[in-house]
Amino acid sequence: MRVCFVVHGLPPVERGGVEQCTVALADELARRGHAVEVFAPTRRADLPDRALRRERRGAWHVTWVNLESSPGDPETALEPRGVAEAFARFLDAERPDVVHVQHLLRLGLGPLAAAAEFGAPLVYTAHDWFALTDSFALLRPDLTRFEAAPTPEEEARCDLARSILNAVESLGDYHLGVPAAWLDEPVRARVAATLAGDEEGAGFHENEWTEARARRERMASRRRAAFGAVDAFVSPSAYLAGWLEEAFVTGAQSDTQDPSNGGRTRPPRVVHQPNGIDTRRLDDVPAVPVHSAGAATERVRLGFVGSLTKHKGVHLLLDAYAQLSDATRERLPLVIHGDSTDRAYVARIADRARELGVEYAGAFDGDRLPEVLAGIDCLVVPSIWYENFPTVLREAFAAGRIAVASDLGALPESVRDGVDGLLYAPDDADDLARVLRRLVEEEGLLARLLEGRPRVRTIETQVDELEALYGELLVGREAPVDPGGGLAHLAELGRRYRELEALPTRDLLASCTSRIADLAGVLGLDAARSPIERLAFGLGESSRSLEELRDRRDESGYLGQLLDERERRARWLDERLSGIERERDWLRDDRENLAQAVEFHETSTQALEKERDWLRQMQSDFERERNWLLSKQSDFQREREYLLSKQSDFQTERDWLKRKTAELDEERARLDATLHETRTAAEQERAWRDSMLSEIERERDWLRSEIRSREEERTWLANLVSDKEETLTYVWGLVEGKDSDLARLRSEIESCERVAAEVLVAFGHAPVELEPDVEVEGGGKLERMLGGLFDHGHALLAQLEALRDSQARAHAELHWRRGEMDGARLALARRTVSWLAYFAGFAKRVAAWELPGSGDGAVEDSANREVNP
Amino acid sequence: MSAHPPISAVVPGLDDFELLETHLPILLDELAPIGGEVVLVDDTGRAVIEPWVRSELAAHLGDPAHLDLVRVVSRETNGGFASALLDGVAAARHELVFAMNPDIRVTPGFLEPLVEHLADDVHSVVPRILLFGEDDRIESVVEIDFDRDVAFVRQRALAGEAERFVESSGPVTYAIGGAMLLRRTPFVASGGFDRIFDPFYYEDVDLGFGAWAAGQRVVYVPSSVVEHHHRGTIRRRVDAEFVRAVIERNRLLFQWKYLSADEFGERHLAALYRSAVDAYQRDQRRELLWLALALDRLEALRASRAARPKAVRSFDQVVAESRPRPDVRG
Repeated sequence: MRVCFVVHGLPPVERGGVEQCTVALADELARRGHAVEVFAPTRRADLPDRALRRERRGAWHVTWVNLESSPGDPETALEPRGVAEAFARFLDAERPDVVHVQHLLRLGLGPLAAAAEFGAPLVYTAHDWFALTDSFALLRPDLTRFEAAPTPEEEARCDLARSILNAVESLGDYHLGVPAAWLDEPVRARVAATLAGDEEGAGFHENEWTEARARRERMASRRRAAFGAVDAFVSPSAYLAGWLEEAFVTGAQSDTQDPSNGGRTRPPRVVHQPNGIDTRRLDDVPAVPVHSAGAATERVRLGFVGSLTKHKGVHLLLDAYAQLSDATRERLPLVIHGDSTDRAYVARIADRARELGVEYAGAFDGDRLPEVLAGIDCLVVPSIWYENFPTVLREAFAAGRIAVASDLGALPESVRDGVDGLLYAPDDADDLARVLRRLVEEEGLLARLLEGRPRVRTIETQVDELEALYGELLVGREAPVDPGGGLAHLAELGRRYRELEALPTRDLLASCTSRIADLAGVLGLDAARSPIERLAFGLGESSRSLEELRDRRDESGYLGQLLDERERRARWLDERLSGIERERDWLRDDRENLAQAVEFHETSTQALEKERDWLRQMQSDFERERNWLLSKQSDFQREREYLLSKQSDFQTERDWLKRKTAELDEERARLDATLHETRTAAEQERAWRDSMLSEIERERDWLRSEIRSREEERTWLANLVSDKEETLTYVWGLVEGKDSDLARLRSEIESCERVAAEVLVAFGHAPVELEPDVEVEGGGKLERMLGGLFDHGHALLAQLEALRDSQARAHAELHWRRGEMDGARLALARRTVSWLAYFAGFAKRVAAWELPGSGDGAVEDSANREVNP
Repeated sequence: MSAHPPISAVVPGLDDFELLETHLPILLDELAPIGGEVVLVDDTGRAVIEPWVRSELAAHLGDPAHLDLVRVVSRETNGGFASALLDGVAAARHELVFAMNPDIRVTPGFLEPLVEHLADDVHSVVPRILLFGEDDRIESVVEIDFDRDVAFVRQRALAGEAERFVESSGPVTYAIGGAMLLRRTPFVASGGFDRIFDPFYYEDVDLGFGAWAAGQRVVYVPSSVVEHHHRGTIRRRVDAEFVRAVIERNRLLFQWKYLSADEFGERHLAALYRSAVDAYQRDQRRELLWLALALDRLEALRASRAARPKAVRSFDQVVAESRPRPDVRG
């Protein structure tokens, strides 16, 4: 089987767990007879960018793709230019049966797409979360952990936050991020605001936010499509396998229908397959000395072994170590093995280690691992990220060491708390210190943990499973298309064609060059001439490669010139861009000014429109007035003509009037005389009337006084009547009493009479008749008195009525006199007014006739009055 | 009475009924007056053409009586063009055979010029084969040329020189197997096309080149015109890269068959080494694959070389003498 591994680096340059794991797998597969080719990036100044170089590594080969430049932005980093093409060339030449990606750091997604295009089964081992996110350690730039795969929005925030860190030179190559506490306040606050999505606090232009978000949306889409081509995900831990299952199987069922997922029509497999290690070299590591089982251990040598990058948490280990007393430190010596390109962090760790009396041993050659592990008793894994499956942990166990690790991610799968190691609360230096103390303070703990060490999975076991997986994937592939289209006579040739197609290019070359010599024999050519001789001859004649090389050189020169030109143009464009940006800023200001001006103009326009409307209204009014004036003008013309005619009439009339005036003068004289007489008569009449009025008023006053006296009298009479009525009432009461007495007396008399009659009868006498006078003596007098009183009252009432009639007549006469007097006054006033009016009009007309040129003036005066009514 | 002897048209093919129903009627119209026939060779291995002829073909013929002129030879297994043509020619009733592919559409009067030019020393004649719809491109003007000491077929009339080859009959290196007139007896006697070129392509080059080497001629007759509808009888079914690989393999085999053990042979061998290295360095692995396919046939090549008739012309002579001559004008 031909297996191709893709990885971001190999020892000795890259010494991480992934790289070591890849080497171990390649070694074991090659040992079993598989052809193993590794594709990995390198950085060599002596090679052209994207050049491929193949190199032998023991029983397998690595092909380096030279990636000179670092990607400038996340999007370019995800798909570096030319990597997919370079990997496609590699696949075309090597023809692997299986492509197994270990990591895509620096290579980006290109290899996935190229592998999908090539058609071999694609296996991806998830050593971290790169399949889900660029933040493959699930850490934000402030080294806080994501709880779920970040969304494009969160990744965009991280990008912007990283750009803030990029600008802080003192951070150097800060790798995954920097703890917020290590940042200066302004930077920390800005990073925090950015990660929180506080656009205002982050201080980025809105375009930067927009661009960052759009870029991350694109990247997420491309990541989904690229990883959609994977046939099987391998996860060393069950923990990460769960994430992959969720992301690519259960949570992404619909994606299997997506044509962009590499053409895969079924969901990928997710396989939990713990890494194995080559334990053989660790067999000879001396065992941890346990001084006395059951007693507290005298001394436990602690060690960190790994990359000195922040997510590995060495700073946390040192924080915990600082909490230990000197005496405890004495019993827990700590050594740090490792290095990284994060120089600022390495320097910080080295300084802190020195302060705490910790040995910082720096980098070590991989061959020295047994020696390194022999120098420690307990490996500390203080990671602050969701550690997946640390190889060094297996190596420590294989070397008979125990481990202390954070209770985070998949670490609890590797370290069983209290069985083969101890776990502490993640990020908790206090708890780590507590756990470390237990190692020397708890009796028998070390011995118990050493006893509980797990059996380490070997690389052989892992490769057994891997071979099985590869086999299943190959069996599961659709049969290759018959190039002969199913035609029987093409079947054999088609099969041979496929065989040759599957050969690596170098094998094809070897096959050809070896058999060309046989051809020489068939053709009967000189058997003494060696292939090398013929090849040299052929190459000497001409070579497409050489010609192509020359062409490429020429092209390179041309492209160099073109590049220079482009660079010049780029500089010019940069300058132009900055100019445009300045212009943009100016335009923005201008736009704001214009906006204000527009607002002002809009207001002005509104005012002007109102004014315009008013003016239009005025114009309309004026036009109407003009029309009216024109009509008036014609009217005036007509009137003027009329007046001219009238003027002549007036001339005539004036003459007539002059004559008439004379007559009137005479009449006036006569009337004056008459007026004088009339006035005299009127004055006389007025005096008479005044005297009459005085008399009437006097009479009125007399009548009023009479009325008052009558009123008083009436009042007196009324009072008298009232008294009389009371008396009458009293008398009526008496009369009624007398009547009742009378009636009673009558009845008594009758009774007496009847008694008397009965007595008389009884005594034999006849009934006696009473005299009427006797019977009504009392009643007759009263009736007469009452009759007299009534008569007197009636006489008084009659007198009162007479007085009232007299008063009413006096009032009526007074009223009539007044009316008559008012009528006389009114008539006099009317006559006076009519006279005055007559004389006033007459005087005016006379005055008008006497003015010089008064005819025209009168017209103009009239016209003026008409225009300005 | 016909002006020339009767002719058998042999049409090997698969189930290309659409082509046959279009092209056979015209062919039969041409053959009927001279007592000719059409031999359809069913190379599907499924005997599907015979029932089609019986049930369908008549409906497409102008004269139903022409159906009697059609015979079908059904092969038991699919064997490719070379063996199918041989079977068809062997079954032909007449000495003159017009071999043609189903995607060739003849034009009225195409036979007579061909027959006229089939002189005693002429091995085969080929009409002016026009690419359908492209009157300025002629397929049948072919010659052998070299690129870095490796032979290849040049079709000058496809590359803008068609108007120079429309008047005069003259030599061509070979008659394109898709439309050529030849004699039945020698063709059958020689076993037809060399099977080293199976399954397709370059067998006709070999046939013509071998004839030239043996002292015969192959003639191009532009006054006979056919159209090639180029429906890709093979390419429709077979992977294009595979077809290309077979063509390139056969190109090498053809050259190797006639290569002599002289300086030219040495140059060619050196060129093979060089092209292999070039291909490797330039990531042109398919060139290596072509070479590898050709080298797979070394034993067959040895036999093929041994079976060559005695050559009266060298490779270079054949190339030189079989080169088409453009019309001489003015």
